[in-house]
Amino acid sequence: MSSGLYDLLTSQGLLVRHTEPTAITPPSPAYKVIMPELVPMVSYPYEWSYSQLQDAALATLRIQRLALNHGMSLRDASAFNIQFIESQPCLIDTLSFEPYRVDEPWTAYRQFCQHFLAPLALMSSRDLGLGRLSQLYLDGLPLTLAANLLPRRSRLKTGLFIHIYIHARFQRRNQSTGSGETGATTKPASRRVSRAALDGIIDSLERTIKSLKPKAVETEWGQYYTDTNYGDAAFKRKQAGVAKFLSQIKPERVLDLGANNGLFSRLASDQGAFVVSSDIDPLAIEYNYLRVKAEAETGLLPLLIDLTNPSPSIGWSNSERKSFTERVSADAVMALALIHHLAIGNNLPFELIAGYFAELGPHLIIEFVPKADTQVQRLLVGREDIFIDYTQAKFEQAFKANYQIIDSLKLKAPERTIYYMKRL
Amino acid sequence: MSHFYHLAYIDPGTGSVILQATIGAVAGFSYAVRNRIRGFIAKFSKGSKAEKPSKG
Repeated sequence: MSSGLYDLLTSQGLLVRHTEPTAITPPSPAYKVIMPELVPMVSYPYEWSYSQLQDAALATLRIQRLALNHGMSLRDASAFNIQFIESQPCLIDTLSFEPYRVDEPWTAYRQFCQHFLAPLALMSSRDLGLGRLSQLYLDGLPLTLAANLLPRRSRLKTGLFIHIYIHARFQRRNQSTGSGETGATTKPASRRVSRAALDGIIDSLERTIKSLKPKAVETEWGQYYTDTNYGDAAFKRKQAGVAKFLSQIKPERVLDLGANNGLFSRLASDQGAFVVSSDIDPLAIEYNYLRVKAEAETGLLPLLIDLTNPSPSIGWSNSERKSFTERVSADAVMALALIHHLAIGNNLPFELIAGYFAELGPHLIIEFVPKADTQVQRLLVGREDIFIDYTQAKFEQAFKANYQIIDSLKLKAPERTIYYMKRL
Repeated sequence: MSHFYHLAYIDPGTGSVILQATIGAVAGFSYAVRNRIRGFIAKFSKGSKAEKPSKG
């Protein structure tokens, strides 16, 4: 605080603001009680798109650079310490700072490479979906694993060669003994890292991360909005209908499921709601986030969520990182052009879908896509049609167990229906 | 005083520490050189362009 670092970082939106409530006496042996601002939706690195993780990485390096200029240093560099507040990556662990000690290396260097650099390198050169690996490795990707998975040509990039390949080799050669002895005290002179060297290492990490580009591949639904069944008129009618239902609900928080690039999510955020715009497709989330950045939108958080397998609660005692269902809270849930993926693509009965949606929020805007629709027929190509219950009547009947249908809008070409439902 | 890390919050990893010490000199040197060049270019183009606020 007294170094001026807090003011600098909070003014740039890089650190969460906090207050020191005088009404609360610190319980012994606590020194102080601080009350941070609340994050609108806690999200985890394995739910971020490539650019979200890249921005979080660059924010961490920027914070470390500013900290060093103020005689402080980040003592950890966990991606879980970064959250998106008003679409900007922000450090939420105010206690991550320690005084910088002359000639000491960056304690968090290993963690930074594992949490940020390794997954970014893999997403960049192998597959955007590999960001999900951080769900398996909570303390970041082991560098030996990353080195094994990266293509050979990655060695040609100096930054990746040093911070991943050589780093992994150094780690293997100097395995910790497990006694807490890091070997650092035995030959201290050789472990010195001057301030200039530290600046150089941070600069090298920053340049390496900036030089990586997301692997551009056409994923399943990446081109969806340019490849829909909708004609212009019907699409406009659908947009107007969804916007009308939203204005009836007046939600403060919206969860858009299967949001693709967030086109319909924006109908809600334009009305002032905070929207979690989720999709299974990493490329759609990437486009969505890039748009958020380009337009400086603050009310929208794109997240990579596989609805048939949403992020579970994981970590120590299965409770360190909460499940998606526990974290998300919404007044309204949107599920447009999604039901057929769940019911036919994933063999889920309507009853189970209605039950889960009702758990997520009290209002629902949902689109029914009939079997005759070419998007549904595409899902049925090459498989037996066992979905005799996939009818609009059965859909309504199943959802009525959890919801009251308030309003609906029939669309033509394609023949679909948008419903506004309210939880019973 | 040279006992590093006995107070470290996370395990910095011996290999990671040695790597930093090994690459530090070169990284620091190249960073300094790059900064010099950047400064030189900024100085050189000062006359033609409005001064940009420095980042970081």
